[in-house]
Formats: sequence, C-alpha cells, structure tokens
Amino acid sequence: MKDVMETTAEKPHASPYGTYILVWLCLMGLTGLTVAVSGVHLGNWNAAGAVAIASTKAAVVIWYFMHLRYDKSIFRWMVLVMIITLGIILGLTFIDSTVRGPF
Amino acid sequence: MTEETGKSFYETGRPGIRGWIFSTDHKRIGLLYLTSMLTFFTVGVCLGLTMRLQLMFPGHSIVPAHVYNSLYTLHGVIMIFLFVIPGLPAVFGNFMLPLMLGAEDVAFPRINLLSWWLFVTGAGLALLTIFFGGLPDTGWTFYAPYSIRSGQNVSLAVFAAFILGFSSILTGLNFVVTIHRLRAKGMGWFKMPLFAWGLYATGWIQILATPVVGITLLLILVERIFHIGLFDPTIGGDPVLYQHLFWIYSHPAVYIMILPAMGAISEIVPTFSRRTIFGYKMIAFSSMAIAIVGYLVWGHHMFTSGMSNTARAVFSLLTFLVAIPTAVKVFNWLATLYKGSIVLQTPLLFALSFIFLFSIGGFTGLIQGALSTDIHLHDTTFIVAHFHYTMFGGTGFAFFGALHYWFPKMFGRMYKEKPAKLGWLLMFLGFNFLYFPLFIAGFMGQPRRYYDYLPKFAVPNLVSTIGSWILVAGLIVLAVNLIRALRFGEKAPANPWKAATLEWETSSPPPLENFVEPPVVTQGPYDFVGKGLVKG
Ligand code: HEM
Repeated sequence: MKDVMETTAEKPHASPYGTYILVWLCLMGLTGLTVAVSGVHLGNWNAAGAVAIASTKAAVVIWYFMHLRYDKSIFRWMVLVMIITLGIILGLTFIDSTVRGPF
Repeated sequence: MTEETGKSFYETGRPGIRGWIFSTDHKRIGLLYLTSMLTFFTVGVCLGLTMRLQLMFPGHSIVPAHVYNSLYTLHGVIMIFLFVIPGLPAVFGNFMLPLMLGAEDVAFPRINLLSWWLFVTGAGLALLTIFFGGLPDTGWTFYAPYSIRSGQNVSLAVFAAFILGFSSILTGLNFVVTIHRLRAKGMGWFKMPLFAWGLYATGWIQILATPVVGITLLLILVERIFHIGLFDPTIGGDPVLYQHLFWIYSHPAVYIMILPAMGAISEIVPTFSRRTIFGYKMIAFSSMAIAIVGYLVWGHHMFTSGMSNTARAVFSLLTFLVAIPTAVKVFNWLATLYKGSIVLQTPLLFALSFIFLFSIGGFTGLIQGALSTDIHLHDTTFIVAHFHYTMFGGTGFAFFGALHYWFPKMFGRMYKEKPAKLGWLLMFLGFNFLYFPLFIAGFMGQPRRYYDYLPKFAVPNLVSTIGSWILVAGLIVLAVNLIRALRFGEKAPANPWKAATLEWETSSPPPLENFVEPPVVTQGPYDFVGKGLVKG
C-alpha cells in the first residue's frame, strides 16, 4: 500500500513556466485554426480536419500539462494502449457504417 | 506484528455485520462477493428452472408470453451482470490474488470495498424494477429500438447495469495495479501464478471496454427520456450503431468471464497432476492474446443485423483468430496431464469437465463464426446451447472447481469428497441433458426467446427440462456438502492438496496480514520438486 503511495506522489514541476505558456499559446493558436478551417468548405474533410486538430490539442495537453512527458515510460505505454484500442473500435465500426448498402 | 499473530482473519477485526460490510480486508470482501453472488445465482437458477418448466411441453402451461419475456431478461441480466462478469475475479481474485503474490492486501483496499458497494447498489436497483414500472422485457442485450419503446422500466435496469460497470472497472484497476506493484520479493512476472496472469489480462479488458457499455447504456436512457434520435430509426437514429456499441463491450466481456476461469484451471491442473505446468509462458501470453483479439471480433454477433457485407466478412475472418490462443491453452493443459501423477479429486473433475464442455462451446462458436452457417443458426436455441456451454459449462464449472479448490484455504475446513463427486457427476450429466438437446432443436430451427414452440421440437425440449432437474439436484448436493463442511468439516491443514503456489504457505484460513513474515520467492509457481512436494 505504502509503496504505491510513495511512488505516485506529486513530483516537483519538471519544466519551467515558459514551456507552459508556450504550450498554452500553441493551444490557443490551434483553437483559432479550428475556427478558421470551419469556414472553408471541404466536404467530409471538414470533420476530419477538426478531429485532427482536436487530437493534436489533446495530445499536447496530455504530454505537457498532464506530465506524461516527464513520467515513467510505463505510463506512456498505457496511454498508447488506450489510443490503439480506441482506434480499433472506431476503425472497425467505420468499416460497417461507411460502406453499408441498402438492405 | 501485533499480539494477534496466530489468529485467523475471522478472529480479528470488528465483530458483527459491520466488521464485514465495512471491512477493507480483501479476504472479507471476497467472501462478501461470494455470498452475494451465490444468492443471485440461486435466484437466476430458479428463473431458469421456471422457463424450462414452461418449455417442457408445447403450448402455454405455467407462464404467459409477456412474463416469459421478463423471465429470460431477468435471468440473463442476473447471470451475466451479477454472476459471471464479477465471477471468479470478485470472489477468488479478491481473496487469493494478494495471497498468491505474497502481498498484504490489494493496492487500493478502500476502492475494493467501494466496488462491492457499487455491486450491491446496482443489483438492488435492478431488482427494484419488480416494484416500479415492471421488469424489463428486452433480453439482457437491451437492443434498440425495442428497448427505447418498451413500456417496462428499462431505464432503471440500464442505469443499474451502468453502476455495475463501475464496480467492474474498479476491480480491474485494482488488480492491474496490485500485480504491477505488490508482488513479493523475487516474484518476477514469469514467477507469477497463472491465475494472476488471467486476472491481469481481465483487468485490462475491464478498464478499457467497460466504459463503452457504460456510455452506451446511458445513451439508451437519454434516448428514452429526450428522444434525440441516436438509435431510434423513426427519428433518424441507427439501431445497428447500438449493436456495435453494445458488443464492443460485451464481446470482450465474454473474455472477462472466461480468462480468470482459464487461470483457475491452470492452477488446478498442475496441482492435481503433480507436475509443473506445460508451456507456462504460452499460457500467460495466450491470455494476453485472447484479451487483444477479443476486441476485434464483436461484429460476429451482428451478422444478420443489416451490417455491411465488408464488415461481415472482416469480422467472420477475425473471429477464427480467437480459436488459436484458446487452443494453445487447451493443449497445454492436456500436455500437463500427460504422464502426470493424476489425483482425481473434485477440483480436477471440475477442471476436466471444464475443458470438455468449454471445447464444445468453443467449437460450436466456430460454427457460428462462419458467416454462412450463422445466418441459419442466428437467434435459435443453438445459440442458447452454445453460450450456456461456454458461460456455464466453462466459467460456471470453473467457478465451482475453484470453490472446491480454495474452500479449505478460505474457510479452514475440509468438505467430504464423496458427496462432492456425486454432486459433480449429477451436475455434469444434468448439464449435458439440459443443453445438448438445444443444439439439435436449434439446428432444426427452433427460435430462442419464445415461450412456445412447434410440436416437432417437443422431444429435445422435454429432455432438456428433465436435464435441468438433474443439474439442480447436483447443485443441491454440492451446496449441502459445502455448508455442512463449514460447521462440521475437519480442520484443513495449510496445504491440503500439496500445491506449490504461495497461498498454500500460510495457514488456513490465513491471518489478517496474510503472512507472518513477508515471503521471498525463489522458485517458479509450479516447482513441485524444488519445494519438496514430489520426489524428483
Ligand atoms: C439451472 C441453470 C440454468 C437454466 C435452467 C437456464 C435456462 C435458460 C433458459 C431456458 C433460457 C432462455 C432461452 C430462450 O428462450 O431464449 C436462458 C437464457 C439465458 N441464460 Fe440460462 N439457464 C441456466 C443457467 C445459466 C447460467 C449459469 C448462465 C450464465 C453463466 C446463464 C445465462 C443465460 C443468458 C445470458 C441467457 C440469455 C438471456 C436472453 O436471451 O436475454 N444461464 N437460460
């Protein structure tokens, strides 16, 4: 029990505040990009673009703000497993819904 | 160490019921789960018997059609969500995992208690539907659009299942962390007992898949209340999407049911053949492989749903992959038995019948996994037979095998061998009489989930109903024998079966802190020779 508590205890911030401000600006920029792209007519690609930008933002948040970058590699692996699982779930669902014909 | 050293965990801690329902001791929580789950199992069996009684002869006899619909729904919900999914992890995982790893408790004892409370809360809510709004009649799968239109209280039932999901996630999380962090000194990953490997693979499925069904069930609730057009085709929804979301969880969930069962079999087989397990690593990896491939095959429940042809072909192909790691395990168990000094005691009888029944379940699964044959068999009693062979013949038999295997450790008493064997025999025979005829009736075309059938299906149905009585007779013999042993059984020694894993090195029942001295591991989990349990 104690063992677990000790190793997961909060570590001091691993990077200077400058990095966080940079990341924040980057997130704001990407938000602006989302808004801008939504005005351009790209058909189905609009959704794809929005999802791609949102995923990038989520990745940056997890990487810096949630400290994945500074943590043990096992946590990186675990997050990767989640992402792959989600990818499989979406992928296999889409091989149905994108090519479903009339019944 | 306290002055209470030498006392078992039964004799330490708060007295009375509060010492149980508020205890964070993993052993007590395991026993809480055991009693609650066996209660639900008994209710489920009674519902099953009632259905079989109605189906004994063609035509209406004891229950009308709409009651039958609620009966199979409740039976399915209870057996799935309250018995086989919590199943072996909640009872034997909780009780045994820390012991097998040489730990004092699981990583998060309070979350462990919380998960039991969530379990009973969810179960309570599900049963409340009896009094409020009527029992759901959708089947345990809650398929849309019927689950959205049904006038029965489906809302409460899906909410209950949502809460049960949390209980399952928390248990899985707890076990994954425990296995990563709390192994005894010297216990590398490959010195871990295979039951722990089974729980590890299961834990990951619980964490990754259960949230999907949680959200899906909430969406049903939202759709029922606000009619926003997610699944209901009349307002623009897609009912097939519901089936996807449901089976994205529920197919991996069948591996939540079976992997810990396979783990328990991997403990029982070497112990009773006095031989180290054949192919330890292959068994461990095949658990992980099953967990992974289990994510890729959910679509085989939907071959007739109107899903795209591409998806049908892909899912059919992928389904056949699961057979490989499963077969790896079966062959390894058989190879372990080969030239072993087999001691045919009750736990091994259950393990052997598990292999037999689960193989029938698995092979018939391949028949259904093939697209062309499944079109004919879908929603017939063939399916009912198949999943009872896997879930009951598989997980159910493993559960009773594990109960007989670990009973001395859990309760510190021995049960009588002869009645246990008789109970097993009745159960095994009854089981086959009960379900095998349903393969035949299903092949002839009898649909499932109907309270009545054409006269041409009369013979297999009559045999099946008689089988259900034999099975229940077996269950009663087993139950009486075990309950009797609780009071009058001989005191169990620390290691009655001469097994080599760590849980047998502490007293039966174990002390509160599990081991007087924290164990240090130097040998593999099945090193009978090295531990002096068999002569080399
Ligand atoms: C004495 C034992 C049992 C009997 C007599 C029994 C009997 C039945 C019957 C008659 C049905 C309905 C078939 C239909 O009309 O479609 C059924 C469905 C079902 N049973 Fe059992 N059963 C037993 C034990 C179990 C166990 C141990 C499990 C799980 C481990 C289980 C899981 C299910 C499930 C999931 C369904 C499907 C419910 C649905 O269609 O929504 N049963 N059972």
